[in-house]
Amino acid sequence: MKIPVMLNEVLTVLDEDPAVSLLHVLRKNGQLSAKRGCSQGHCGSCTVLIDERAAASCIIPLALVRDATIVTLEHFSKRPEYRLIMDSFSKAGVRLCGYCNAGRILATYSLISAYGRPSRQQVCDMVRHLGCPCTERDSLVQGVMYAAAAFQSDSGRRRGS
Amino acid sequence: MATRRRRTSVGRLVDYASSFFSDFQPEGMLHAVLIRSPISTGRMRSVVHPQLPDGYFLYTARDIPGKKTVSLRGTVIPILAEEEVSYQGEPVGVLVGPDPLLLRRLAGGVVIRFHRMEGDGPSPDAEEAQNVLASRTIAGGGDAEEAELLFAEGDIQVEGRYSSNCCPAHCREAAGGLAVYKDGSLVLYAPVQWFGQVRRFIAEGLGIPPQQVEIRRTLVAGGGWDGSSQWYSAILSAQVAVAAFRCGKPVKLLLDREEQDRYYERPAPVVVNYRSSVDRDGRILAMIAFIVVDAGICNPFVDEVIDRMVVASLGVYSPSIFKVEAYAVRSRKPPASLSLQRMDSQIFFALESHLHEVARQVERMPHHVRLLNHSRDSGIPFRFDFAHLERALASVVERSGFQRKFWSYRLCGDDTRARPLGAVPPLRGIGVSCAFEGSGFLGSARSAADLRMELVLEKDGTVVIHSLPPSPAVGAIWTRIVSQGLDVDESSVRIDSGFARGGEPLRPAVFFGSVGIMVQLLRKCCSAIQRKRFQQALPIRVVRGLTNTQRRQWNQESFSGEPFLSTATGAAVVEVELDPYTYTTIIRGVWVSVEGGEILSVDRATSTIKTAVRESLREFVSLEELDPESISVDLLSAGKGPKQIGGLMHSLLPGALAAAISQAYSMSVESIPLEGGYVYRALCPQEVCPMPMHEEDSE
Repeated sequence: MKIPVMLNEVLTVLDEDPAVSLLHVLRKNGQLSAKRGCSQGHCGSCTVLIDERAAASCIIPLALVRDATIVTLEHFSKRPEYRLIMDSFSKAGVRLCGYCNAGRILATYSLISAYGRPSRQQVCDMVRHLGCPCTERDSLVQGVMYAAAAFQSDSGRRRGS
Repeated sequence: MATRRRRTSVGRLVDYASSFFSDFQPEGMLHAVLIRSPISTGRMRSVVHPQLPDGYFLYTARDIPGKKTVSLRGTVIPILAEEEVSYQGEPVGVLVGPDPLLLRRLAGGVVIRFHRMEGDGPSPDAEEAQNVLASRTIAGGGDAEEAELLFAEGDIQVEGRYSSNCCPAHCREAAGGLAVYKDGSLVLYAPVQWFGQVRRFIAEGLGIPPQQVEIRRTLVAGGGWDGSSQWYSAILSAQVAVAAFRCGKPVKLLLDREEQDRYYERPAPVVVNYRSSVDRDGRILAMIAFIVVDAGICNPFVDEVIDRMVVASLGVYSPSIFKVEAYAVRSRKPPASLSLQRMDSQIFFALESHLHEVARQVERMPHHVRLLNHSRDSGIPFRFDFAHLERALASVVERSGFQRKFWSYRLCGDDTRARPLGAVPPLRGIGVSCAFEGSGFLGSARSAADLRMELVLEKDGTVVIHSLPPSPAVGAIWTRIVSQGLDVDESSVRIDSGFARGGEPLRPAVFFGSVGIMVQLLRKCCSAIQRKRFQQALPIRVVRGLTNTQRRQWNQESFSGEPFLSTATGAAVVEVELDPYTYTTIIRGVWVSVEGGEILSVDRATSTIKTAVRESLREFVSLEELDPESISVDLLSAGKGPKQIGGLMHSLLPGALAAAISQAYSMSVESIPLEGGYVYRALCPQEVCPMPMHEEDSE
């Protein structure tokens, strides 16, 4: 079945079995930042942005993303928001293992997009659902809080200019 | 292929890639899936497959050009089962092809025909000698009969049977590898732990010289479970190498999650029976422990695992007289994933739960019973430095308000048990535990002998640490130590993890991961270089390993002495509360105190401990997320040299959490991981919910 999507700002027609996971199709198309972790939607390694919301691509059948806008970490890393998040993580001492980067970074972006300045509790709730044990949770929470502050000051700067 | 080699050097047979092997997709690559035996024992007649499309191939043991089995520490393991299968899921073939989804469908159509054998093979039973893969029995303070006698004559007899079957969080890249065979040489991309064995297995399987096998270790991420990855990954590497050799194209084997769980990371069930006779103060007069591990069909490290369990079986305590029997039994199941680092944590869970039961029966504070039994006397054959344990225990007890809370919750618990469901006030419980973590086990003589560190001061003033790649945190510590020890800038220190022919470590990487021992060796190297620095021309190369005195600390024959090169001790308190809306457990707090020797970086040590606490709690309950809002860490710095502390939380937390849950719900946690809905089952009245509170182990 042919399923059109906007993949990393390029209109792409995915000709695949609609029942296969989005993760499988993305990896087959060279989008390797989404990794296969728990295969149950818990760990966050397979995260992509679907219509600007972080989603676990391992449990989403391809048929459900018809006409959706999908952004993988490869493409997201070219955006200025990526640099803000990575700088904030670095400031908080967050060390990413490489396997779960997509989950950590895109979930952070998604949370900040939804709430602007999320509360610490909201950040803790988000972080709780990222299962990879590579990163110490308190540092990650702090990193997300820094990122939210950085987003706000960045948007303030842009409005000011 | 998009690989960036960290270093390039002619003649190096071990190198490193900056990607995960599952991300490699070279031109013309084929995928592979393993065809597995559907039954646990039988003699194969044939392997029949449907008509395979072009470009798809099935390889069986007959296609292995060289040796069809590999031998590891006396254990012979077939690369692919040839005639007989020994356990359900044993690989009998490798199916390769370009489309991984079609490959899975085709694999489902492969039929293995058997001559069925009588029976279903041996079941785990320690009493059947032929099924025992390894065993160890020790007694102290008297002989085994005296221990039984003293137990029978004790004032108070406490007995408990504890079982555990914990498995790690599954977030990592699944196991496998990518093999490329070209012009008589094979290149393997895989996150291998044991270079020497991988090379040997592949070379023997393909019938080519070991020099023709090049290994590029790919990234490893997502936690430090070292179970099967130490040795079973070498078998997977040999399987994928055979497929690449036969089809002449790059072949990638990547287990799916179900395979990974069932065949690669199958946890090893451990059952421990503790029997103690105690006096009215809670002092243990006699302790008898019986340990049984289901090791699966085989495990090359099983003897060492059993030894380490026996060493852990008395914990930090000293009963007047004791007997410990431990058995690893063979079963018709895949090889169990036995972690050398973590297996003793299952023993600590059993021992600490037993200590709680002792305290409950004699009606004493749990930490008082621990202190009472802590002091070491001459009857114990193992020597440890537990000098700071009392400090650690006092610290967690004080910081958590343990004494006040323990009695309060106990009184509340007595009061609320009579109330009907739905009228329960906040139910809380609190538990304490003590444990140790040893690193550098001297019971495995070869591994201790292999421990070494190499340091080179180059002509240009840079310093090279030649070692297997450490974790980023450990690497930063090493760099700082060398920088301080030789008075050079940190930017001048680098870690070189490439190995030339014949120079690679003979043991798995996990043997070299101990921060404590390797830092000791690194400091010795720095001192040696300092002494030669201005008297000898550069470069200066220094290699340091364990001294004979260190190796003689432990006597494997008499099974006595100092079993570890360094031992960290600690204590933990966990407090829990019932969430009355969801009937799940909330962790109100975790207090940890660790004596970790010299603390080189407080932030990193704290971060390591907090991560390990969360990881350990998640393994405890299979279906629920136990996420403490607050984790309080107290690092007790003592002595020279750092100690390994990462695994200590896995030994401390289960015992403390089990005790807390037991108190909160007036149940007895004797088996971990807890199954979902345990809170409801514990609190629900019998007439509403006639299920048993504890499901009996099915044997």
